[in-house]
Amino acid sequence: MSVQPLEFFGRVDKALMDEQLRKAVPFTQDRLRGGRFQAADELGNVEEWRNLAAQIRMHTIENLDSYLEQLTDNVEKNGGHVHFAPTASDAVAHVLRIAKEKNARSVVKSKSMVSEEIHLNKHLEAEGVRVIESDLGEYIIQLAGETPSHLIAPAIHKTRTQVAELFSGVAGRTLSDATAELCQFAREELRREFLEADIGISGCNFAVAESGSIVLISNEGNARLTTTLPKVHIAIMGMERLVPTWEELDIVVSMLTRSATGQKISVYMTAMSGPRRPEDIDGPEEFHLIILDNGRSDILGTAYQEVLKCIRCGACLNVCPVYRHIGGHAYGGVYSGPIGAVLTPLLEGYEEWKELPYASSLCGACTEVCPVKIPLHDLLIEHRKDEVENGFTSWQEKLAFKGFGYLTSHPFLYDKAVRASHMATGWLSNEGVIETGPGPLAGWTNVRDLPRPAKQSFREWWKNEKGGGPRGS
Amino acid sequence: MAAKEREEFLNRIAGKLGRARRSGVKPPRWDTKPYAHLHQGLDHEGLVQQFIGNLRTLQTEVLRVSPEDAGQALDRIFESASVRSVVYWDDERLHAIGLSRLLDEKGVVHRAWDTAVDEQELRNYTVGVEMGIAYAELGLSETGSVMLWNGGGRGRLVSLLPPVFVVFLSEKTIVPRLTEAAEYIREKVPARLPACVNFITGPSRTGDIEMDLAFGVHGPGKVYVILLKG
Repeated sequence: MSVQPLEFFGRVDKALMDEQLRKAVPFTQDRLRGGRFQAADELGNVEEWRNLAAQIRMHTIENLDSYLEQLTDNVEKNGGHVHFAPTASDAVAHVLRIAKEKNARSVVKSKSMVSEEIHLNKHLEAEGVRVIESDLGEYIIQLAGETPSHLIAPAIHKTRTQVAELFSGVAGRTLSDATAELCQFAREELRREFLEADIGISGCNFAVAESGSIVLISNEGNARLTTTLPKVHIAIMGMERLVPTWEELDIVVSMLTRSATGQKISVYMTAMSGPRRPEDIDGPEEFHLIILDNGRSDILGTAYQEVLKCIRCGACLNVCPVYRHIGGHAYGGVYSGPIGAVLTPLLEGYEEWKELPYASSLCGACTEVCPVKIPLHDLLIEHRKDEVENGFTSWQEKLAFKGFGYLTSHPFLYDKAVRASHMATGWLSNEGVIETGPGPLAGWTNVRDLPRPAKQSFREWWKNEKGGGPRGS
Repeated sequence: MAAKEREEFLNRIAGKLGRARRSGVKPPRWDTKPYAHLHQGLDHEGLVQQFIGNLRTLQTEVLRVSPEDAGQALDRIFESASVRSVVYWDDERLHAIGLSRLLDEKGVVHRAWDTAVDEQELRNYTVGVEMGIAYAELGLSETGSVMLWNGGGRGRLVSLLPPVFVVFLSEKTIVPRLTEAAEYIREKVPARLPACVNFITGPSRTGDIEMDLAFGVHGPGKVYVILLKG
């Protein structure tokens, strides 16, 4: 995948220079995080909820073949069509085939991270199909030609002035930057698109195996319009996004909305079980469910399996100090923040994404809020370990750690080395700190000071201080 | 669905999980009910009050009236929202209230979601209409949600296209939370669910422009609940 014109550090630099982004990201983070904490407080027993939600997700993943079989049997019983897509290009091919069969000229979409993952819009447009994103945030970034910068709030990096300019361009007249006017314009413009679209494409927050239902969560109502007005509805789901029954759905939905925005429930929760029935005169005449693997099955049975529990709430983004400073685009992939740093290298490989597991201070805030208890920062460490074992580190780093390992296992040499490094850094040091380090040290000193190595090792200091043996007296 | 495609897909999953294919797995009995304490000590009136309170914080007015006073509730709504045209569910419960007669009295244009009518014509009418009226199956007190059981004369567009949405709810059908609604739905699974079941909680909202809360960007920006006593 190459949505990234710049290398990781280039993207980070760009984000750090972007003043609007550096205001908007912390502001949004604080609002969403505040909502989440308040919701957790109101529950009073959020740990009990997290434990149950985690158990439910783990049980589902461990029995994924069985529940997918049940789900797809029931979707067909409901009159829907099911398509399996081992890869992103298989999923795209299914959509393109349906679009061609229906002679579709325009497709309206509601927010779907999976469709971003398979770069669906680009492929549809290449076939001459117009694609309209209908979530307000997605519509804004589509007009701007950008990608989402947050799982839940995709356009947080845009100011109202920028939005007004984008919308004015579509309107052919100057719109004010008042939220109400901009929303009214989007309502009218997108309503027309909804009424004319040949196909509606949605994601899937959760599928329910026992009834063959696809459940969509939204606040704006665009997911409802997408799945009701066009004659054909295509839902694309990551293969892990299901629950066994409505009993489990209750728990995971309760956690999803509270963790995402702090809402007890979203404005709309819609369960669709196949196309319209003979007695209906609204709703799609055809329903297609595309189930996507795209690297997910390779995660099964590995140390990373728990990442598949993710319900895409974005809570980990909202507490992450790294995300706070660099925003979503710097991560380069479709999924940003801690979940992106864990997931993207798994789905797309270390070759292109080896920096992501290092885009973390390992503070563990993400792990603490995750509603399904994914050990996110442990998995980041796991990645770092795997990267080292698979040779994705530089020879300088390898050599340095090899040397460090040798010294620390030889106390005499270690003492000598500490003294030597103190003396060797004298010329670099200013009042005990090194501000501009040479060579590999620059990676550290570019952004912070490094204390000058001490005159003596701890063991030596201890011996002098206590005057006795190594255990003191 | 191609059977071979599915087999390969599912076999791969089983293989990666390092075990034989499974089929017919049922979820275990979960040993905790983390929601149990949320409604402890609330009697039914307490649930009704919680329902009303939750919707108030979501800028949604709840009008609690006896069924015979439904007309008065509508009067109050018509005073605050300027409405000249209405579409409503072709639903026995609304007919029993005498909705069509009440709307005649208000002098507004109105039509039921009559499935015998040409689909495109009814849709075009609904696109231009200012108010939709439906009747909810259940209310959830914890969240202030209503559950709509769509199908046939209970068209989904009625609660979606018009800028104002009015929903009737019998206060008897208010339950604590999604848990009870999920049980209700599970009982209907063997006979097959309708193509669409909606849970609606207040007006359509967005915070996508600088996190500034705005209503009605896609769905109805104004929602009223008429809560029928008894």
